Amino acid sequence: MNNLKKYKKGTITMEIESFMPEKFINLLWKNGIVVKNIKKVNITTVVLEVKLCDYVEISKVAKKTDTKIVIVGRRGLSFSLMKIKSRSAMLLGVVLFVSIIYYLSTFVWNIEINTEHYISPYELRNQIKGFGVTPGLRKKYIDVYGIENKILRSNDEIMWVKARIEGVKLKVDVIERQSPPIIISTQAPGNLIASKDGIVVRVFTTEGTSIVKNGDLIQKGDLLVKGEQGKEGSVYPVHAEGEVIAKTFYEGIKDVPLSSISRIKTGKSISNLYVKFANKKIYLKNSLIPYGNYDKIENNNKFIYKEIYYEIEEKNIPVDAIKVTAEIYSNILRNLDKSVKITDKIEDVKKEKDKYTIKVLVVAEENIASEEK
Amino acid sequence: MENKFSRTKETIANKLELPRDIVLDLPKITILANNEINIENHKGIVIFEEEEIKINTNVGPISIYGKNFKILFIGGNTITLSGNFKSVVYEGHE
Repeated sequence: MNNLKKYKKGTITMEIESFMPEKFINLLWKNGIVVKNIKKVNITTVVLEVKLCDYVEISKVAKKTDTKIVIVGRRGLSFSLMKIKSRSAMLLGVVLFVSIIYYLSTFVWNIEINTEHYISPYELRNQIKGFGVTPGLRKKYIDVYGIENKILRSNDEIMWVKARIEGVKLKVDVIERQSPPIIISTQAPGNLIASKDGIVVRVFTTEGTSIVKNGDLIQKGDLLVKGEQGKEGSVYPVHAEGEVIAKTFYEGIKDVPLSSISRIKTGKSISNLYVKFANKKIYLKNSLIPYGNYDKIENNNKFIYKEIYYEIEEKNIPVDAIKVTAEIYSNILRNLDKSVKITDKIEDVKKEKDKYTIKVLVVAEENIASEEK
Repeated sequence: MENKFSRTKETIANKLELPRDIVLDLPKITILANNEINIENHKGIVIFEEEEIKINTNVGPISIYGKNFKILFIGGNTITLSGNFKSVVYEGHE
C-alpha cells in the first residue's frame, strides 16, 4: 500500500458514503489532504476528487469514521504509466516499429529520373546502375555530387543534371543540351541538281525553271531545275525548289559456290592432361584420338594444361539459290531510304561450272533533286 | 481574558498598520458574481447540503444559501465554492 506514495500525478474520483460526510471532509482537511470538486449526491453520499498518493491516509480516516469508499474514476499520468508497465510487449512493439521504420528510411528504395526529349530514363538508369547505385543502397554511401559529375562526364548531350535524395527516393533531373537549329537561307538563289543516276518520271517545281522532262536519262550531278524565273529578257534569280521523281536502279551481285561445307560437333569429346616443364610436355593423361576430324581446344589452368578434342562431322549442303536471292534483296532494301518507292524487282540466277552468279535488280522511284552547294 | 488579548492584538495591528486578516486570523471572503466564493482562514465545514453550506470561521459560522453547490477546492486554509448563490449570511456568536 505504501508504494502509492510515489504516484503524485494520479487523481482518483471516489464516492464516499457516511452518516456525516461533512465530518469526513473536515477530517481530511485537518490531515492536510487537498480535496477538489466535492459534490453532494444525496444526504449521505458525496463525490470528491483526491490525489492518489493521499489514498493511504484517506483509508485510515475512513476506517475511523466508518465511511464506505467506492472509487469511481481514475485519471492522470500515473495510471497510464501503470497501464503501460503491464503491457511491456506493446511498448516493445512500438519501439521496434519506430526503430525499423527509422532503419529502413536510411536506404534508397527508388530512383526517379526525369529527362527531357531524347535521353530515355531507362538508359540513364542503366548508367546509374553501372556506377554502383541501385535501390537498396544505404544513403550514406551515395554521393549525389559524384553521381552528377559522372553522369555529366559520360553524356555529352546532358547540359545540367541534379541528383538529390528526397526521403527514400533518389531523384535525378536532367536538362539536355539543345543544339541550335541549322538555318537554311531560302533567299539565296540556287539550282537543283541530281543526287543519283536515273530516268526522270515526273517533275514538280514550285520555284525555278525545270530543264529536264519525262524520259530524260540523268546522271549524278546533272542540273535539274535552274534557279531562274521569268520571261526571256527579264529573268531574275530565285531559289529553286521542287521535286524530280526519277526511276533509279539498285543492283546486287553475289557469287556463291554450289554447295558449302558445314562442320557440326557430334557431342563426343576426349581430354588429355599434361604438365609443362622446361618446354617439355609431361602427360598425366594421354589417349589416342579416335576421331577423323576434330577441333582441339587448349585450356590453361596454372600448372595443369588440358587439351580437349571435339569430334566434328563435315557435311556438304547444297546452296539454296532462292534463299540467297532473298538475302541480297533484303540487303538492298536495308540501305534504302523510307521515302523510296519500289516499283519492280528483277532476279537473275546463272549456274556456272561450280558456282551460282545471282543478280538482283531493284527498280525504284524517288526524288533525286538536291540543292547545289 | 481571551477577549482582552484579541483586543490588544487588534490595537497593535492598527497602530503598526499590519494587515488585520493575518494578525487576527480573520476570514477573507472573496465573492465573484453569484457563482464563486473563496474563503481564506476558515475553520471547517459545518453543514453541506443541497441548498445551504455553513462554514465555520473565527467570526462565527457563515451560511451561504443557493443551489448546485460544489466545493472546488479545500486544503490548507482556503476553501473555494461554486454554485448559484442567493445570500451570504454571517450567523455571528451572539
